[in-house]
Amino acid sequence: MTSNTHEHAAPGGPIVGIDLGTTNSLVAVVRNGVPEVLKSREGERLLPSVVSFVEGKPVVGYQARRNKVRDASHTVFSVKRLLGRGFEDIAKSSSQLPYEVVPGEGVIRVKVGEQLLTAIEISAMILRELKESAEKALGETVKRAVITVPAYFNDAQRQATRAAGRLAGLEVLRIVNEPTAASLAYGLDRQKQGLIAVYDLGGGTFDVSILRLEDGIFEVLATNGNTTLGGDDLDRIFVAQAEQDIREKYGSNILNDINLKAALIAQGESVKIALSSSEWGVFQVTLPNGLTYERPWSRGEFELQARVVLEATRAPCLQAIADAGLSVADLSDVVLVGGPTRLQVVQQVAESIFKRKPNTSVHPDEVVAAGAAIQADILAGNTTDLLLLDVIPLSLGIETYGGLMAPLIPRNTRIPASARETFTTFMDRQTGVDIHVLQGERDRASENRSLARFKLKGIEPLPAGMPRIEVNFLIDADGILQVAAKDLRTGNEQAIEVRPSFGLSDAEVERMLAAQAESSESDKAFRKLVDARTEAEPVLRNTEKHLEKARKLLSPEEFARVDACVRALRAAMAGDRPEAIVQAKYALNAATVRLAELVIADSLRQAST
Amino acid sequence: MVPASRPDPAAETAVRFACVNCQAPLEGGKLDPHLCGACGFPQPLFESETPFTLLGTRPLFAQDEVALRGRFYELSRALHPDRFAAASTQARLNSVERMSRINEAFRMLRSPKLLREAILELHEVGEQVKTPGGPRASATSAKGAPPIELAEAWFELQDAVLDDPQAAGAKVLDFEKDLQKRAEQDHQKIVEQEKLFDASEGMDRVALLEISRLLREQAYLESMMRDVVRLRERLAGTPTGALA
Repeated sequence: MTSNTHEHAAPGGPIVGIDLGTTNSLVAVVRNGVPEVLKSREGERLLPSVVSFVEGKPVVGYQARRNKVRDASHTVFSVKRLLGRGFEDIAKSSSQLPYEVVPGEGVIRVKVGEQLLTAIEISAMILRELKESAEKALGETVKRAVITVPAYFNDAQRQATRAAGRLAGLEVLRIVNEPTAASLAYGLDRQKQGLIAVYDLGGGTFDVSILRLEDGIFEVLATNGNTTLGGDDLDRIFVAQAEQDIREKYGSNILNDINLKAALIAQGESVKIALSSSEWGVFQVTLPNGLTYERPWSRGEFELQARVVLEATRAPCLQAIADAGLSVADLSDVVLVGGPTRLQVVQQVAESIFKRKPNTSVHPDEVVAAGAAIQADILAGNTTDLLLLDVIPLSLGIETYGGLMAPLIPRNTRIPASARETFTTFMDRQTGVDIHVLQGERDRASENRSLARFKLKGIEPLPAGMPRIEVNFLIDADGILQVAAKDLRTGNEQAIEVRPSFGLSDAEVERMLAAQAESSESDKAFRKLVDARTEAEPVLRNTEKHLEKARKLLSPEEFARVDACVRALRAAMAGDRPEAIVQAKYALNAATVRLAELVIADSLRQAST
Repeated sequence: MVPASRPDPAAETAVRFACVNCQAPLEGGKLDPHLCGACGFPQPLFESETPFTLLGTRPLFAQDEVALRGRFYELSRALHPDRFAAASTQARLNSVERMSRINEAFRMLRSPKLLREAILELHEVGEQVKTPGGPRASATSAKGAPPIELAEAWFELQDAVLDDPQAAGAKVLDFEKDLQKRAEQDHQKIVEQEKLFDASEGMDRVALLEISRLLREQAYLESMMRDVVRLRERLAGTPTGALA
């Protein structure tokens, strides 16, 4: 890996790689040719993708995760499952979430306390936390990022991720597929060559990619997956059983309790983790009626049910291998990525699909972020001996007469890609055609995702079938599609950049950015306040502890001064001005220098007698 | 940018251009005409470039897959838009356009079917008949003249089915086998003609015409095969379209 001296010297500062996960998120950067995970402001490598609203202000990470059960009605998680989706898309899975999902205009919203927020806004809060973590770790402003998404994310989901990045104040230079990013980190040392499969089971998504690694080229041959299958679904095994048991015993009303819902999900996760290292685990929750529900689980019982869930990963794997024109025996390695692949049962299922022991050597949580950082370094022009050749995961086409989809660019086509095809009119003297851009694998247009619709007008009124309308698709290296339609007789042309139907429009993002400019000021102030309080608290507590002693040791004037400072700090901490707290803290510190000396001397004296 | 001479599409051409960015002549470079050897600027696509010139291979049916991939990787390394992330808009645009065409060419040349279409198109043989079959105009016509004897046999078979559906079952199966055999024979013939074409160094136009005719016949056989299968299923009592 080459890495020259003016690394990060490029205008615009460092480019970070971000893995925006369903369960956890990470930020990484390449330093001296090596990808490095940057610690969050909580000092951890992982940032739980959980946002909790404390006094109406967003808090992200472990602190928020602790509120999942403690303050369920103000805490959201797994929002990646909602990103870029319409209400109908998630109607099934939303019932499993302990927070309320509200249909809105175009985008769905999540109810948190009194607020209604989109998944994009919540994702932006997580991204902003990562951005600030990276800035703290690097000591410079971070404005640009590469963000990963599941390979099988559709256009709307990608666009929503991009919008979240923008909302977080990041220029998203590239959206990279998670398994591809993982392969970059896996193949970084150039020792690994040949055909590999990446089996990526995340918290809420599953991807499989088949790649050829050769001399620094990472060529994706095929990709497949399921954006609604993940480790969360294994937790559901325990939750579903508990819900059934509880319903039978106490009726279904009790299950409407939002805190119980959250507790069930949390227990599901912890029993799953317990069973990964021991043979037995106990699912235990306290019900709103004060009684306790308890059920022991053996690993065998869990694995039996888990296998049924995980079987759903088999078909995408086999399809990807077939699409790559390969058979299982051609693969030289199978790389496991994602936290849930730590579970033995997942490894066993992968082994049975690929007929070989999977490779568990990469760090399942960190490898995607590391790969994103490498792609960032490639785009920065620092890494020049690696190159990723990626594909589109889903076919792109347009609707033709009879409600059928005519694919123009089939799935697994390498990007950038272009395609042209000529269409004609169906009716005599037709002067306009609707161009309906679709994404998906189904024959029926209505069963695919609608990406955009536009009208080409001004066609010469001719008999049906006479006009020649050329439709051009161009997908750039980012997977962004541009569609142009041209009447070949008149030269009349119409072009659009495809915008998501379930994402946010540019105008909406602008409006949110404007609103956020105000709120981010207040966010910052709030954070300052919390920080000031947190720092002042031990000073205050320490002094209060010695106050009685101080009365004996200090002169009345000295004591009065210390006492006044304590009162002043208490008052400042109850207020909302961080500067006042900091000043009062300094004042108290200064006032207690002599007290500290006396206390130490006093305790020494007592120790010696 | 206009090529100095209109090249013969079938021949390996040595067209000379000048770089759109620095005007240096584009010649003799390893990445000519994709990238200027002097300033590294990706060049816009030229009219005369074909899938074959893009990947620097001869327009023949036998293609060396390993060599193709080697060239494809070499071009990708130099031309991929990731290499121009910080370059000018025009450079990025050229890179995207060029790379998308190279990607397309690489896919075409490794698929026997697409390779055949590309060679026929290069020689303007077997014109892609655009029929107004609904709003999609580009469907190639499969309605070439059917082989007479097959068409007759097909009508006889249908009569036989009307007369005595019970006894016709075996006949339908036989006909299906005949069709299969015929399709295999046609495929063999196509392969032979391709060899003739390659042996002639791409000069044997008659071979191309024959390939084009055989392809039309194959399309006809395929659609007839679908009808026969439907007929057989109906006779067997399987509801047609049940698997749709």
